[in-house]
Amino acid sequence: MDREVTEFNLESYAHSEDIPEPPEEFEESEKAMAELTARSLDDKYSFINIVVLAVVLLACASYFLTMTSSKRYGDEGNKFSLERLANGKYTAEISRRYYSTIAYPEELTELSDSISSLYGVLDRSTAEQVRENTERLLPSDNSSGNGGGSHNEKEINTETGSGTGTETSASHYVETFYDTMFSRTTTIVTTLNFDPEDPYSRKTTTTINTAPDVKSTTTAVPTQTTAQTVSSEETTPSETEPTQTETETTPSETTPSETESSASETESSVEEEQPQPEADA
Amino acid sequence: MVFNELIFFLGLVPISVLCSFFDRSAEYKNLILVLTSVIFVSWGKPLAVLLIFLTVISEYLLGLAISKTRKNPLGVVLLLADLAINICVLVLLGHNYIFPEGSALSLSTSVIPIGACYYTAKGFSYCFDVYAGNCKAEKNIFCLLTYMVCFHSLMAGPVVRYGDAEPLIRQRTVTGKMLNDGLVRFIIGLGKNVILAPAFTTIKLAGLAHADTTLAGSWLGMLAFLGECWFSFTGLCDMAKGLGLLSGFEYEDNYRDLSVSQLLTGFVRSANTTLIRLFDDVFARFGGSSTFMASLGALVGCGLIALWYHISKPFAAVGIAIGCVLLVERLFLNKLCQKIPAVIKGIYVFILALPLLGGLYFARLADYKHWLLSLVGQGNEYILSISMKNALLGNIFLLIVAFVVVCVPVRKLLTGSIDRLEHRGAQAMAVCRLTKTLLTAAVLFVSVVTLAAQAVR
Repeated sequence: MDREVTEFNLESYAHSEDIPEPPEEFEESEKAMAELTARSLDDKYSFINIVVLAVVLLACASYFLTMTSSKRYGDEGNKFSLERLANGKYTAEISRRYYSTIAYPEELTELSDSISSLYGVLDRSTAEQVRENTERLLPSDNSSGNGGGSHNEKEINTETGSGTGTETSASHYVETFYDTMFSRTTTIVTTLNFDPEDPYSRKTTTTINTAPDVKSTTTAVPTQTTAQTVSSEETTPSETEPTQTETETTPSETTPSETESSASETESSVEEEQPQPEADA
Repeated sequence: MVFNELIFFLGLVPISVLCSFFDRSAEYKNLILVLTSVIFVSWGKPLAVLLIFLTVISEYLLGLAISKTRKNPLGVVLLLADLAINICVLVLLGHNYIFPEGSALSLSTSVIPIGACYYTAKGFSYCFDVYAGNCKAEKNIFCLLTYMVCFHSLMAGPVVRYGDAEPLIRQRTVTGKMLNDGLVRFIIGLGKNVILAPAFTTIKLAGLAHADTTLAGSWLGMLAFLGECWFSFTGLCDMAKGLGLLSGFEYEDNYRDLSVSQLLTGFVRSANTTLIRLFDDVFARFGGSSTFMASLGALVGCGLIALWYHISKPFAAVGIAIGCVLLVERLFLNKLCQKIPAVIKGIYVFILALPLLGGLYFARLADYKHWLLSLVGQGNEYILSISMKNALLGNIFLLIVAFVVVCVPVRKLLTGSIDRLEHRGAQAMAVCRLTKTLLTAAVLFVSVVTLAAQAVR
């Protein structure tokens, strides 16, 4: 067969019009070759893709596993027992340790802020700048109570012992989840159940916010004995800021997976505060 | 535990995937899957897992009983018993309204955050399919356990039918392509959930989370709320699909592209497609196939699905309202639907969907009323607040990305161009594929850093 082919005289067709067409197999094989090449390239880049992603994923996983405090791995304070496992304390403590011992927290936060400023979500520093800009650009909005980022605060202090009460209001800005600022009204009601002979008189501060049912209550044992001092202490803007729980409560309420229930939830927290030495002054 | 927790996808998932490669047998892979799922479900409340195992046993026994009595009235009774059990589990685990916080019987933080809904839906679908003859009753309880507790579909579906999952539970292989596709899909879902959805949260808060509303804030805030819901949900669905591929399961998508071609009916049916199909099947089986019964089924189904999401008055009201619209559309607008121009359809859907679905955001009727009035300019002092403007400008890049993802023509144009570019030659293909890889890796890295920063703050 090979011999016949080698003896085939192509020259006789050199100047004639009926040059034989190349067999169709050539075209098919070329197509097949091209497809194979494309598939092999596809496989190659898929392999590169999976290697890169797996390396990034495993690198992140090993970073969080190895670069954190060794306390997480010990049973100090988190001894395994069936009871602790059954009521969920054991696993909850593992979670808590995992997140509380992440290495380089400040660097991570800074990195996150830098990245978020690149892709758009406002980071804390940007939020501060926005607040300054808003204050400069919209002074009249604060007075009307509808300014962007303005926060209208109304504070009512009442004292059950003496029967006196004061009402003050202040405006400032609120940082929320992802630090976007918005206008809303917060009412802080401070009630002092004051009895001169009772050293355990309690001061209760309730923050009522018009954001979807954000409410917090703080109870503290006061050291001073006059309502006047309490009200002046409470109306200081720097003191009223910690009572805003929006910054802490909003993220949990607006977690994407719980969006539907965020509007209907009411959070309330009661905590003991140490008496403020400045309050006596 | 949830999908977008660091301890889950940087701890549990890699260990589970790596362990499942140690042996090829399906039994071993199922064992790893069940153990991983038990850890996932029981994290925080391990004792409640017993309740889940009890329900699997009840599904197993009821399935066997239904298969023998499916042609008798007793079969319906058994199916109703299964439905009652699943509703009890749903109320107990998913929406803990019975026992107050702090009481001895409280299951305070729900055991499966949102997954109880899908868990119970899967359980009921199994017994229903056995009753309808779509699949055989499973005699191997371990296979049924694998199907029921499989963590992939617990967060946001899909409601996998046992007939589809059974062959894969008995025999499956994980190929390199599945690993690749699964990892990419999981990262895309993670990005939607961790990066895109919070951007909409920011805009939503700027527009809605205060008493002094503005005109633009009311409209854009509610759009952002819907965007947040959409990206959270589809992100979880993508993650579920990716996790399934990593374990050798190929699930169908639980959502489809938003479309107005079938008016509000098509728009509402874009999310949770597998669950809606289950409701359709149940109504078709028991309610008949006439147009009126199908329309009535849509009304009842909407109310039930809304309650299935969340047992509360606003959800019930919204469900019934949407159900009424769907009923009217099925009865009267179905024939006209083909003749209406797409633009008119879009405007119709937008005008109806925003006020109706907006009801899900508000817990009190007064707030909802206030927002509705502010949509038409009542009670607004300003048109646009500075905070809204900053939120929009600050997230403009993510908004563009979200628009490309949601808007099908734009997305198809973009992906089509990239595909054509890939096929131009080896060099172009290399550039495109490596760019895709780098972008995916960047999304993963950014998501991890964002979640870690949120954890340490």
